[in-house]
Amino acid sequence: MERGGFHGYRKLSVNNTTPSPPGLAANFLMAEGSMRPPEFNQPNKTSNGGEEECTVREQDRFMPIANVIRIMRRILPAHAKISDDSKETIQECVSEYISFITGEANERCQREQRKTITAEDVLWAMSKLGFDDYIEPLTLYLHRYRELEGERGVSCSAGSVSMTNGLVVKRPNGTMTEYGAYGPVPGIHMAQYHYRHQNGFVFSGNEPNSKMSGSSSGASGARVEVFPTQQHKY
Amino acid sequence: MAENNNNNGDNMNNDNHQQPPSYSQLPPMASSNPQLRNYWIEQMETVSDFKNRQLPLARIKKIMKADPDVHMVSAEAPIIFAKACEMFIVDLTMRSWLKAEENKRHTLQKSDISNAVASSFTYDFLLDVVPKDESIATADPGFVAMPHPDGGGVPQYYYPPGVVMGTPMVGSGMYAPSQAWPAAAGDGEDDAEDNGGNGGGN
Repeated sequence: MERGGFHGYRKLSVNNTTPSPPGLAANFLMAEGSMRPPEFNQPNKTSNGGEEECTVREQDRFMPIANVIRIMRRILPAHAKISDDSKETIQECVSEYISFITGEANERCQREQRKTITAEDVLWAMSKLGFDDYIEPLTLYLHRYRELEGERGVSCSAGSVSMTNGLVVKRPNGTMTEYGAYGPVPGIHMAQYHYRHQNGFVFSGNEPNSKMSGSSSGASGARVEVFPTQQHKY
Repeated sequence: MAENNNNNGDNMNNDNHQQPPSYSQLPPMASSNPQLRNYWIEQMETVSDFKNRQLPLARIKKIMKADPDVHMVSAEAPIIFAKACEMFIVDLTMRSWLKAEENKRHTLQKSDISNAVASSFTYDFLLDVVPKDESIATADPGFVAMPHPDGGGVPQYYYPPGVVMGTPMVGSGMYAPSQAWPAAAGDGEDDAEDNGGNGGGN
């Protein structure tokens, strides 16, 4: 545990000092404006009396607690109360979940010598790490998102979007618009082709899901084989 | 939107009402919840406004890129994560609430989350974030409780639970516990080891 902790500290330092890699794609991502302004994040914990740098880091590490509580209350009965420490614990669990899935998705990217984590990589990682039930709803969500963005791209580019989330979404709209108009930007075109290729992965990914659901004993067997190793590790 | 909200409430109330008998009888390994899964599928098919997000995309992207090995993230990945995290919060909250109900309480406690995490292998990656060393929780022989720096019950605003005293909270909390992180590390040795491990596992 100590060694692990030390390792984490070193990586954190690297993270602070390493800028994003240069390049057209990197500029394209940075142009979204979602990563540049660190001060843009709204403060979540007013009781945090730590250092300023620590405060910024703390705020960046978790989802806004108000959003988390709202989602929690969606499933809880009206008379349920949520203790403060459980609110914060769920916050930490969500960040850990994102990091856990992202790490697995990034491994796949590196094996295939790609640098951009796509939605399909995220879905694949979830399926591999035991969140099979998430795949079908999220696949529907992704397809629906692409349909709507394709339609909305034209109207959205005509209007102006000022919110940060809007800015994040606006870039894909532009991409879809340019792709629809057969824009001459080769990088974006290749990216779009890449997405279509990834769609194949999603489709092929569904078959194993159906097979797993078909033979529950096989799935249970597989899980039994894998998890004792994890238990041993812990 | 109001109708959607009401629909959400109705569906989830129904699910919550039906969950206690069947959900608690599920085997510990099963993380599957057919009712919740069907609920999410219906939700996805009726979604029409992607700007009405429950979780900020910029924050998700920042957490994803906290890993120094993560280079670029497509715009769709945080969008998928935003919805996935909603499902994750609902799933974990539901399981935790069932633990609270088992103890006839109406307040969701941290120990309920700890017990829910311990009862499902899918949530093993959270064992370091939610250690099972709460004074209220019954010790489970299958898991080794991790020492808490300041003892159980004390709310932690700076140090995630289970972090060894003296190590920085951000690094330890984010990197050390997750089994996926060592593989993602830039260290060649870790990559090699994890690749070997993956090979063995597969």
